[in-house]
Amino acid sequence: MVEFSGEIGSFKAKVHRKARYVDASKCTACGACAEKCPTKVPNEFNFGLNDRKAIYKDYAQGIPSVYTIDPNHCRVFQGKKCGVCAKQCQAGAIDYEQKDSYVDLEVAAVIVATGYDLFDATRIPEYGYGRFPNVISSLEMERLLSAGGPTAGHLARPSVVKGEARLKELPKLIAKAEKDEKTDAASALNKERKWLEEHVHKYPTAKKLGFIQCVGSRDFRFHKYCSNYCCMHSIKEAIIARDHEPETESYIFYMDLRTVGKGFEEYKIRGAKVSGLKYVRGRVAEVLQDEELNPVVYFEDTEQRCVRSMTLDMVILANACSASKGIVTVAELLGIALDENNFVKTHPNKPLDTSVPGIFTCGCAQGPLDIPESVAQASSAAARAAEVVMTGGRALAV
Amino acid sequence: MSNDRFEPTIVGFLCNWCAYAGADLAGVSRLQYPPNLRTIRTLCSATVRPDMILKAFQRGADGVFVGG
Amino acid sequence: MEDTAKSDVRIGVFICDCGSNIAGYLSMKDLVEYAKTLPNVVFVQENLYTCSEGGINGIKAAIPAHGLTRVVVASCTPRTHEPLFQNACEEAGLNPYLFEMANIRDQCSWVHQQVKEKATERAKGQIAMAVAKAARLRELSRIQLGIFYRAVVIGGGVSGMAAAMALGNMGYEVHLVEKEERLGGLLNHLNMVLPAKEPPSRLLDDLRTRLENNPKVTVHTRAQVKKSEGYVGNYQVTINENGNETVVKAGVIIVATGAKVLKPEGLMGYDGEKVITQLELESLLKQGTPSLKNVVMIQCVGSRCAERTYCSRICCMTSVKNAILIREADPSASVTILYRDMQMYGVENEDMFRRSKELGVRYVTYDPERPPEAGDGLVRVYHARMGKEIALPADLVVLATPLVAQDEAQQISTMLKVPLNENGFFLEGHVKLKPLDFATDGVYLCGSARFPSSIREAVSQGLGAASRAAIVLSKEALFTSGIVADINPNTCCGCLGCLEVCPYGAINFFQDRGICQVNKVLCKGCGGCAATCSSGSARLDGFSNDQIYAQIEQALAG
Repeated sequence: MVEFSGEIGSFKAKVHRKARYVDASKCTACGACAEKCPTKVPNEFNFGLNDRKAIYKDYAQGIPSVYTIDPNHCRVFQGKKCGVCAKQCQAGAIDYEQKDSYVDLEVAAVIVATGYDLFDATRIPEYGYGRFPNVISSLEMERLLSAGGPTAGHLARPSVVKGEARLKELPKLIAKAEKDEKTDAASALNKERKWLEEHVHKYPTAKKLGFIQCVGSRDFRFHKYCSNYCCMHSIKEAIIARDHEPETESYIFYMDLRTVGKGFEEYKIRGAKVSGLKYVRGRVAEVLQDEELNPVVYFEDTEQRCVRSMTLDMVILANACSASKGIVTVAELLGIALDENNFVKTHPNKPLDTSVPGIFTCGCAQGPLDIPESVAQASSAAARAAEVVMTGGRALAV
Repeated sequence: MSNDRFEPTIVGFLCNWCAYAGADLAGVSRLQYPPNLRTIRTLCSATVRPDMILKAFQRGADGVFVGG
Repeated sequence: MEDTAKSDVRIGVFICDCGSNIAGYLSMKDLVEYAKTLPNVVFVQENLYTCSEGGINGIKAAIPAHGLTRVVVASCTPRTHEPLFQNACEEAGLNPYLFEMANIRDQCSWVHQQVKEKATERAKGQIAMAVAKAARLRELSRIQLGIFYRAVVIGGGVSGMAAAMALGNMGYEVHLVEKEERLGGLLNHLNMVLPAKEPPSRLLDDLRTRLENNPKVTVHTRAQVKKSEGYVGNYQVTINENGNETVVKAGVIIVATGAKVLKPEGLMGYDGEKVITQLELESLLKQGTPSLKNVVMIQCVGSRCAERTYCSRICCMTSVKNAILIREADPSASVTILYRDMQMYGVENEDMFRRSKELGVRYVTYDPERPPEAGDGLVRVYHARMGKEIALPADLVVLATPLVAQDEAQQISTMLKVPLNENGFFLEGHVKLKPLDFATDGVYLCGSARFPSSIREAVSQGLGAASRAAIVLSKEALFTSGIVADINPNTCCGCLGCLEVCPYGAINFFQDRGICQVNKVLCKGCGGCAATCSSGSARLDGFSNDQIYAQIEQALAG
């Protein structure tokens, strides 16, 4: 949205629609274009754990089911000769000339459902995220566990996934260094190659997992609030990991295990009984790494009253739910108030209403929520909007 | 493929809402599997009567898959 | 088996190349030639894209030109493309249920890319199966039904009030049924609510006044729903108000019956005087702050245990709220909360939790294996951090007990044919995707009847349930699907096997005739009844036994 004006019952909005360079009405999402596209790009949807093509779709079930060209990487847009996708596409859907468009909307009500951003765990250097390959975020874990993800659901350690990719490119780099007679560089690369060859396949599957809760949440340095869904998210990931690999052992390091939803407490208990999850009450102070790239966590075991360490195959951080970065601009455009955390401000008695009549909000835009509550709120916001639409825009309280 | 290798025929009853959708997704993801399967779409795996499974075996199926 | 394929069955088969998606991996020529040899097939056509405008027009032209009475398309998946082709048939005057698809892309060419010959064999098999089924298809119809544009909301707590308000504001007639003398439910008994920091009467009075002033809303107090008959769009609900019965014709029903606080008889020395519940503390605080020196609150009394496995969601925030109010009123009063996990989820609760600590509320965890004991003005508890038992002086012990299901939940569940979970709360259609719907169309749920909820959540869910209900009320008419079950009344023996397996409450037993019948409006076509029926009386149209048998035969014919 680039422009916004008006009042309840008669808002005007201008929406900027980016070109996708594929005619959505013709594309059948058959994928022949992506199969033959010569340009590989790190796949952001899988957090760079594999590659996608310059013409792509985030995932198979995405809606609308239409491919998109990434103009920052597509050879045609880089002024190079290509056009492979246009040749492959028998439906004639490729349109390199497509332009951005602007859509003018006249609406009675608006719903802000902009969601959240994952807390950036590099802001907590003591956990080693970004430095240690086998310390990952909760959403990276989600991709590793997904049958449609970069490892087809196999819980491969990121050090292995990345190490294998590096091993593939090393011979070329070594040959180039040798050709340029850079002996130091070549010997360093050779050393790296030897180390990788010896180590990469030593622990291919992550079997001993540590989940660190409240990463950025309930932390005075970052977010004071509780992110609501992370306890259940970690328990779910640990249970699924065990389903994929029966030898998996999971430890969940927590302050309070917040299992407040319907069936959640029961699920937590099942996790311990059936899937062998171990819940450790205590906050992790630091994560280090041993020479085999195993993360080592140091924590206070408050129930045993001692400081302990544990060597794990992989550490999964329960990243906090941060307000989305774009919300400030959206809020300014709409004129709605945000709270101190940059979530859309609401009153407990009027949970869907923003500070502007006719503009409603739902989901993580207004604060961290789990799926059932988000889905319920989405219907609620629709009800509020429907009240406005169906009564010709009269402002009505809850 | 050599001709004397045993090639089973498998009849699959797939629920429209999950297993059939999963089989479609295998296609979208281009996962390759042997072409020995013949799929029958049902609106729920609960539609599959036990005698349908027996019927399939009686007619020579080597395996029956019920996905739901 | 009797071959039901008759001579008037004329099948047209359309085989799609899907560009190179199918044609690149299968031998299309073989498929076309093979299809021509199949029984009843009178016309075969290959298309580059059957779903394109040209392909669709081809189907529409071929139906009259070749007198087709059945159409088979061999292409992608019916999950995305069946409606498109069915419409084409309908536009050409053919009943849309005389159409069948063979999935030779998603489930063939795409998954057998390296074995063209074998993949082509499979595609032939799938086409033969589709043709065999098509020959046995029957014309089916969708029935149109009227709707009563009116809603009944059962339960006048904050959630039910919010639901009634939303529907009333949208312009629908609403009957709000409350068993007590006045609206408001559990909130009537509370002292103050945080973080709004106001007495609950403010919210309730506002809602009450506006509901009473809304001409679309009729409030029934001291009233109960006695009987409900009918189905989505067409309910007849009998309301007993102060002994007078009225029948309301409604299209939808919202269940907002709330929950009640567990009275912890026999637990932790509960006596209602020195050891009380949080709800009883609320009434005490409402009358003015009693002078208290040492208050000990104990969490999870009667919840998260073998008898009641669930966490009741709202008790931690209630205790923290009351601890704050006590400390604010009298900073010399000491408050200690004994807990297992402080369930202060989200932004507002954690904020309140932090504020309580700033105010000096003390927190001690306890192990459910070694629960606290209250008696003689003391609470003894094993302190895990110190590794020893401690004794806390207490002139008042407050127990945080869970919300439990209402007594009438069972009766409403039976009356509306909607399920309860193992704890007696109403069970939604899907835990994540349909939190406010029942599996049965036309009935919705919200608030603590579903699961313990805060005010914020109860209001939100009430509005959400109204939104779900409005989906039905905003329709001009309802249509049944053609793919529904049917029970042959002549052979049904009334064993109730089908009724027990039906997840949608779509089967009725008629005692007078001793038979079961399907309500085609509620039936979702799962066929569970057909598979269960021991007399073979239940049949799922569009997926009948003879059609599936024909597919099995063809699958194994090669």
